[in-house]
Amino acid sequence: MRVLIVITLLTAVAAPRAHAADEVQPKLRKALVSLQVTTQSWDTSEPWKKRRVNTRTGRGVMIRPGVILTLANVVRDQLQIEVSAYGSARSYPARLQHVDSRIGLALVQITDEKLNAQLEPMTLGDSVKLDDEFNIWELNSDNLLQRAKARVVRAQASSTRLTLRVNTTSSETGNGQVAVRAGKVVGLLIGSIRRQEGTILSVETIRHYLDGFTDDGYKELPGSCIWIQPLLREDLRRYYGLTEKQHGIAIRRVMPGSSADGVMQPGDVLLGVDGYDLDDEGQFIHETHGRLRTGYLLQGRRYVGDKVKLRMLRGGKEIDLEMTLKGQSAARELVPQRHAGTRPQFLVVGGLVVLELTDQIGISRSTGGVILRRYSDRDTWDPMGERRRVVFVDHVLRDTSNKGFETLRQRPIVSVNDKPIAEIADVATALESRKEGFHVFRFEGVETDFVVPVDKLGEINARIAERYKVTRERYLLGDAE
Amino acid sequence: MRCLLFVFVLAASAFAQAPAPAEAPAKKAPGLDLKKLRASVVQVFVTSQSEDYSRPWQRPRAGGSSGTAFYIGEKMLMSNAHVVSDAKSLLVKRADRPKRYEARVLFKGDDCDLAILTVDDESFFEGMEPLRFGARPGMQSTVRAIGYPMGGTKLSVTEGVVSRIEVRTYVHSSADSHLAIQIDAAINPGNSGGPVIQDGRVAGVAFQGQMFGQNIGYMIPPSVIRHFLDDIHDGKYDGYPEIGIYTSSLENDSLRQFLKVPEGETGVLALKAMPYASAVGAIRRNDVIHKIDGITIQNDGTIKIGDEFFDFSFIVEGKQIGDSVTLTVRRDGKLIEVPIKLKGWEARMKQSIAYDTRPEYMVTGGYLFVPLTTNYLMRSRVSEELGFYYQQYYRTVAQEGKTREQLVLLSRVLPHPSTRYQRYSNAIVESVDGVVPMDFRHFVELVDKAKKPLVKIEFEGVNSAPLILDKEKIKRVHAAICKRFGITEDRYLSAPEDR
Repeated sequence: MRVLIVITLLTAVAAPRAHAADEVQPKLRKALVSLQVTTQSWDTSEPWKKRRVNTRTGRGVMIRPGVILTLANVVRDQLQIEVSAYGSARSYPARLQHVDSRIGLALVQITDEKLNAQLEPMTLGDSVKLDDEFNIWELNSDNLLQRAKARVVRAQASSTRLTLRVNTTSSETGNGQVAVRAGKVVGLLIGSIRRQEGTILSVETIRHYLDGFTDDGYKELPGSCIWIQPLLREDLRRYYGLTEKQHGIAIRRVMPGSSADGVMQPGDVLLGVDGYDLDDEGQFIHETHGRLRTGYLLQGRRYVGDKVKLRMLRGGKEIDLEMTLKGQSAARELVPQRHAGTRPQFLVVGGLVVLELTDQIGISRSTGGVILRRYSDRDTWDPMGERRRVVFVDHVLRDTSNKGFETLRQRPIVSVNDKPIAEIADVATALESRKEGFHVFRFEGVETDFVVPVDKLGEINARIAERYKVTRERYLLGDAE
Repeated sequence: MRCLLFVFVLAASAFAQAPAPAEAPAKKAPGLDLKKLRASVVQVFVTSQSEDYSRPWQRPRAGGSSGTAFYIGEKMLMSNAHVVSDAKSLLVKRADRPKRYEARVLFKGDDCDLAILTVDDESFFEGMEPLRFGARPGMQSTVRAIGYPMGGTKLSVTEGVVSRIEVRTYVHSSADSHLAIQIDAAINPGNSGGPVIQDGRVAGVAFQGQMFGQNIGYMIPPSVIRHFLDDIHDGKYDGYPEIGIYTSSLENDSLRQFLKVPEGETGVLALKAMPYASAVGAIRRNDVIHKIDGITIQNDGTIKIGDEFFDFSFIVEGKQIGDSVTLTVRRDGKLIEVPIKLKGWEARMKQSIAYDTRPEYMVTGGYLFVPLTTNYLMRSRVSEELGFYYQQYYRTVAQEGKTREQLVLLSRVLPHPSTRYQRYSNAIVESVDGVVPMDFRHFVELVDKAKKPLVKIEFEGVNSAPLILDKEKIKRVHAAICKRFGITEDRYLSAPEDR
């Protein structure tokens, strides 16, 4: 009897201070996990090889029964994922269920029933706003709960996601630590923390990602479609014919094949999207978060297939248009982003290592590199012709058959056997089409043609493969992995 | 490599002078008549002004330097082009006379770094004996460099041997290479333009050194001097002719089979004629040049002259503009003779460092536009990218013959309330109201003659915003901006015939 009273008294005293934490901690113990990811990435320059194996630790939270939400960066290049939970060093196997690199989120499925039985999902909370306070929770290296405080100092949007800059007491690099407010998930910590400022991937973006899973499959974010021009300067505003009251951004270029192709035109001024007015810098006022970038209206909070309403200024008249949003792959991008984990396409022909230019390729200072850089600087735009991709010889594996070409570096290919090369698969097709004589590679810039006798190519390839341990001579989309 | 080379012209006056020791009884060095040399080898005092390419409206500060020249007869003194380039005042002084005489440049070859000066006051030449030119000195033979290098004011003689003979870049213009002789005699700033003597005759003209080397000096050999003297015979300097072919080695066996080159035959692979060069129209892609003027070309593009191998284009070093050269070419499997009439190479002149010229520019409403030239790249702080781009432009774009003669840059934006939000620097102009400017003059014309009140200037690269020149507004602010930055002249365009 006496004992009971004491306990009651103590609880009563402690309650006002510890109330929130007491309520949330049991939930967190059952929902937070730590992920140990074994990774291996492809060598971008010699893509028949993989780089060395690494391990990475990340955090996640159970969001649906058996499913962990984490960052795409945590599971990048994953070979194997293991999950451990609160209070135990024991780890259990898991598998990657889905990843969207553009949003930066991934789902991991726990395959072990015993672990699943221990865990319970958490629910998503409401938006956090400027000056809101919350906690950032994680399982630390001992798999115990660790908490940091955070307060929102600014909201910002890229075209694909809404993030919040927070002032925080955490000093950990963001790898999926969970932002929690009122017992609910309100974000994941991403990126590094500098001067006590870090970034939270917002609950809006997390919800948008999860809502993308429908009965008809996963709905992607729309792709980018326009290059814009802010109209801050009076001379530009005059040039584009804006009146005192009109504000917006000029369309510099429309990406061929994209959502905007056939809807917007260069020289148009975009004044509004879905009822939001744009300012001269291309920002709109979000009801919760204030000024954000327009790209968010066209991509980050939309799905492929959605329709958006545009208000445009064209030829001095305001017009209303509707645009159906298409995916990233619809647009003709000359230099695409290569998402981590996807296998780079390549061919090794007569010692020439042939690749496609992506944002992952480090460009050298060779003459060929200068030409390549012009393509990547021009931001996915081929000023010369009808290329879909920039196909180039990255380097040459030295052999007597390619003597004199040893120093060829990062040289774009114009044609093979007189057939123009628009993408890497064209190289294979052009090679197959010639049955006798010589294969002739022509490069961009003043450069010698590379020739190799058709009947000797097999022998040469085999010799080079043996000497340089080239374990496969090609990987093109459609080839077996 | 280029930056390692250092042209020896420095103000001799900038160095503290040690007290001159009392002259010892002269012991005549064998082969040198010092009395004659004191009269014929003179010191050149130069006051020069180099242009400021980042503030082209400003007249830069004058600087002083000195070099050497020597008498070659007919009231002509020979020196280096770099000694007298950009000079505002030239004075020459004999070692045996106290007086300094005013001199002027008669001829100058920037590509071969030679110049001819004269003095109008005839008394200067009294008792001077011309130095005679000799043959090219052999390897290991001893030579003496005469001149007025740093470290004193009197005539200096240094001795060394010929250590190397090869074709190398003449850094003064940095666009061309000629034969040069490396000697280990001390050649220092001030030696430039001085004679290098062997057996009493001029065996070369001292002209450049190596910044981080020791006992490495270079002289211009008699063949290059003779070429220069032959060239100016008609009263003006035209420069070297150039065949102008991009070539590639033919070491690859498959390539030789593909091009149907018979076993044992050698040659160099032609890729393309250089823009505006002599070979335009004469040479096709995948021609194999087997011989030049009957001399066999090796697979690496060299020819054998004496015991040494030189690049095959070395043949034209001995020729003048207007002469011919004959190539023996294997084209489509057949051997044919291709005669080429040699001309000067305009594109090279455009790529070389220019002297005695004013930078062209235009300032309008705070925007500074300039043509992209080698001088601009060298003398203002620009990105390496732009340098690459420039080279690339000349190597691949210009030669298509369909594009611009010159690139125009928005060099920078002078800060003023009317030029707010402008972050351009060194942006390459793509078009003016949709028209591609062919050169700087054309660009200025397009801007001046634009009829619309707003002129739209687009830049290379899809990410750079266009610049809108609001003619009305520029008219209002132009004078104020010029005043703020002390711009007395808002443009300079050279006369068309100078270009």
